[in-house]
Amino acid sequence: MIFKLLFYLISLGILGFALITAFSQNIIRSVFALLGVMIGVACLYGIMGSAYLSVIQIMIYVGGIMVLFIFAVMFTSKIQDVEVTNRSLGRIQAAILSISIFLMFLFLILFYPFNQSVEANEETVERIGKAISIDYLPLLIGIGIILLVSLVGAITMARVRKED
Amino acid sequence: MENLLILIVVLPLIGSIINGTLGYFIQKRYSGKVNGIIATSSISISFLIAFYLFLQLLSMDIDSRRITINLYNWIFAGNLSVDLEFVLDPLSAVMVLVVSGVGSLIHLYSIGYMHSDKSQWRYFSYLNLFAFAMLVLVMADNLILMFVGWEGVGLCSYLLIGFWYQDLDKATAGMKAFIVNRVGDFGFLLGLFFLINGISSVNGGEAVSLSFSYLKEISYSLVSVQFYSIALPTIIGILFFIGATGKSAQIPLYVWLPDAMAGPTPVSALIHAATMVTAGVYMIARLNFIYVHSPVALTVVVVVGATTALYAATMGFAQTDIKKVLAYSTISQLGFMFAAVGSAAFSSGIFHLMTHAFFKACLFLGAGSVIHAMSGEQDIRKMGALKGKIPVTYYTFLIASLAIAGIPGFSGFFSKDEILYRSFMSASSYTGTWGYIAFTLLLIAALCTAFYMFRLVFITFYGSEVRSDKKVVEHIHESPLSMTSVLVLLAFLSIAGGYIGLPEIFGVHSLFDGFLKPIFEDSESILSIPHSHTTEWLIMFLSVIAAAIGIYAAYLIYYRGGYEGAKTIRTKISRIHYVVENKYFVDEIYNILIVDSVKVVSYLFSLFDKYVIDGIVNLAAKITVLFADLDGLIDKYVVDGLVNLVAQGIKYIGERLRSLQTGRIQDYVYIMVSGGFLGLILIRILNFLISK
Amino acid sequence: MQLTAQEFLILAAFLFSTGIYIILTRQNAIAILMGVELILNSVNINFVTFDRFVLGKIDGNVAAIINIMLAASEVAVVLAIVIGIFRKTKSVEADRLDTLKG
Repeated sequence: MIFKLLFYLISLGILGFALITAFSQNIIRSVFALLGVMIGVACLYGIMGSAYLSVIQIMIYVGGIMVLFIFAVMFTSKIQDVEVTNRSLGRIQAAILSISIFLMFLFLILFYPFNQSVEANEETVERIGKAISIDYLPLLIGIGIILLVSLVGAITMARVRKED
Repeated sequence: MENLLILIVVLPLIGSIINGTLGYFIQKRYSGKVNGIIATSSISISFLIAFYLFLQLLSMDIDSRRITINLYNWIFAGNLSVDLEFVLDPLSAVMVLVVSGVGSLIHLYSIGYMHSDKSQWRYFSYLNLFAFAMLVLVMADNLILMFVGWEGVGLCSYLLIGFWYQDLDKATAGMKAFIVNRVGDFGFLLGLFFLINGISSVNGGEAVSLSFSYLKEISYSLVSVQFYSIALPTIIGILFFIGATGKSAQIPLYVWLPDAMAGPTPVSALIHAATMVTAGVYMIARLNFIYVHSPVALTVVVVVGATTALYAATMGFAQTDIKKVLAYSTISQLGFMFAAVGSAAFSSGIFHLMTHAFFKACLFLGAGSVIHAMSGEQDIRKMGALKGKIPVTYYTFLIASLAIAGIPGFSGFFSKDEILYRSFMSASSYTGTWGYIAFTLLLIAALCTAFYMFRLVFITFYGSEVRSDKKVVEHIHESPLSMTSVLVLLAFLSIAGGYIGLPEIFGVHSLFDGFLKPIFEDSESILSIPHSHTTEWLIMFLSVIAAAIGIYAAYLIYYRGGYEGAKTIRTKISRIHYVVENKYFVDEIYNILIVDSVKVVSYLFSLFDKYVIDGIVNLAAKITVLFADLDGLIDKYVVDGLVNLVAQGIKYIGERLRSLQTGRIQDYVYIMVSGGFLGLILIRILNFLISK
Repeated sequence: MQLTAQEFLILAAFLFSTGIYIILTRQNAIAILMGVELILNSVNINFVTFDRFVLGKIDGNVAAIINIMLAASEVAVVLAIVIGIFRKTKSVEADRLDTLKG
């Protein structure tokens, strides 16, 4: 009961922050709104019983990715978003598309019954660890490699080139 | 013996071929004389063979004097069958002897006369070729072969008249001769066609041959054949005579003969005096059996002949070129011959043919000698007093002139007198008034003959001085022996030749007539012409008087009065003289009537060609160009337009599509997402429908 | 009342649509990236929801973790690119980045 209330509260927050992200003219405001969304989602994970996942979410998303976003925004230092001029793709079309996608999902969700078992599916770190290390080991290693590669790539691309 | 006949004909041909092919080299290497010798020997040998065969003929029975040889069957077309057949009978024997005899003399003369010419080889080749053609003509045994020779002599006449072809006038004269001849030949051919047609309508479908013996047999039945309600003998008689007027220079086709004097003088002597021009007379004599069946045709021949005789004689009064005088004289004498055969006095005509050959050849060659002495001058106004300077020429010329004038004792007297007598007598048989008219004309012509001949003699040989410049006068010399020997021989024949034809009134049988009797007696018996010795003496007397008057008149005007006297007389009758001098303007009339009308017609045709035909061609060309332009336009606008349209369309579509490629990722994302989204929807709907 | 999956899923759907909207609409390249992040998050929510309410397994969580990792590396690279572009063209407007045009 309380969870439901909590859920609605938090989801309201998430929705609000998401809308701010979408419609704000100020890029910093968008970034911080996204930050809010991330935090909200982390809380959501908590409500669903995936504590480990919520912590991961905070650590990586909030602590890493959003900080990266802020830094990027700072580097590209345009606070004011320029107003749309001469766009072939208007807001209307985008709105239509996104609304129709949402409606499709809505339709799917509401009219397709799936078996739900309401008992809490406890997630434990142990279970996650077992799954990652045993069942999905290659995935883990792959992820490691990807991270390495992307790191190297990002540094290569972003480093300051010395002109001869 | 028959094979010798071929030899007579072929020898000159061989001579002609040798001179025609190798002659140029022979002349270059040795001299023109060698060409002349080759030519002269070939025809002389022909003469000797002919003479030998003539003696053979004499030894034969009088009714069967015929040597023939049939080479092969030349034409067989339908029921016309013509052989290559030669014959030597009395008539052809006389002709052959005259042709080859006088011909040989003239060949000999030519060696001297043409000694400085560059193309002697060509001259002698043509001369021999002519001899060949003439011999074919006289020795042919059928009408077609004779026509071959007829055409052949026409050709050689053209070649020889225009011998000096570098001179346009001379070449034109040759052409004139040939063309006028051709007109006559057209008449001849028409006659042939009628003849063949007529024969095949009476001979019942068997083969038609045109040999003279066959024609003689069938001539009796030809009388009944009629075309356009005219009897066949009359038709072909007149048509063949038209051919004869062309070949033998009678009215109206005589105009080529005076112009033919453009050729070398020996040519004029041979062809236009002794031989070719007599072919017409020979032809009528040969076809006597047809002519006697048509008094009408004979009368036509007499009248035309007599008229021509007088007409040509008058023109001799005013000519100043020595050769032209002789040319008109030839035409006049031919008129006499035709009058003879027209009066059915065939052997008289042939007799006059022979004597004329002698004295006319002598006159022409004498004229050649004069021209040679005068360094090429032919105008008698520039001559005079040549009597002492070139005596041989003078005396032979004088003898020949006396002969032609018809002075008793000379050959011309006997032959001419016989013609006058016969034409007179024919009036009471079939020619009626025409005969008397003809006789009168001939008598006057005889007078004129004497007159103009002696006019020529007096102007040329008499007088006190030569009317030329000093250089010419100094050069005057007698001709070489090769020329003078011939003159002497011919002069002798001009006297002696007449004695073989003495008329009966002298109490002897004419050898000549007797010889030719078998040929003509059948025909002469068809027409009953009376004989009267009294009349004959009378006429003989009249002709002598006429000749004497003529000579005396010439003597008065030209000898006594001299050259100046002649000139005063000329001014007195200047108008008439002008007309006569210009040959009655006949050439001019012909020119306007015929030549100009042909020119007009051909001009009209050329206009037609230029405007109509070329117009059509140009029109076709224009249409083609038009179509080409049209095609070009179509190609440019339609075809290219289509192609361009396609290209434009693609470009347009491309540009429109290009606008999709904005380069902005967001647009691509949009498209991808919406595409995917729509795809999902589609699948959903399809599933839904299928499950239904 | 119990929580049901649908509520979470509707929320995830909403986030997804909003992310789409942000991608299509925003001009700033970094903003577009934020839209991508939103989508990734909504996917994560989806994973966990199904894991918790329907399947009862743990694989969904694992997938979500992996997803987060991937998102992290991807953001790093993309932002490096954006900074490189910013250095080159001195702007991060999506409209300017149209060299693929034509």
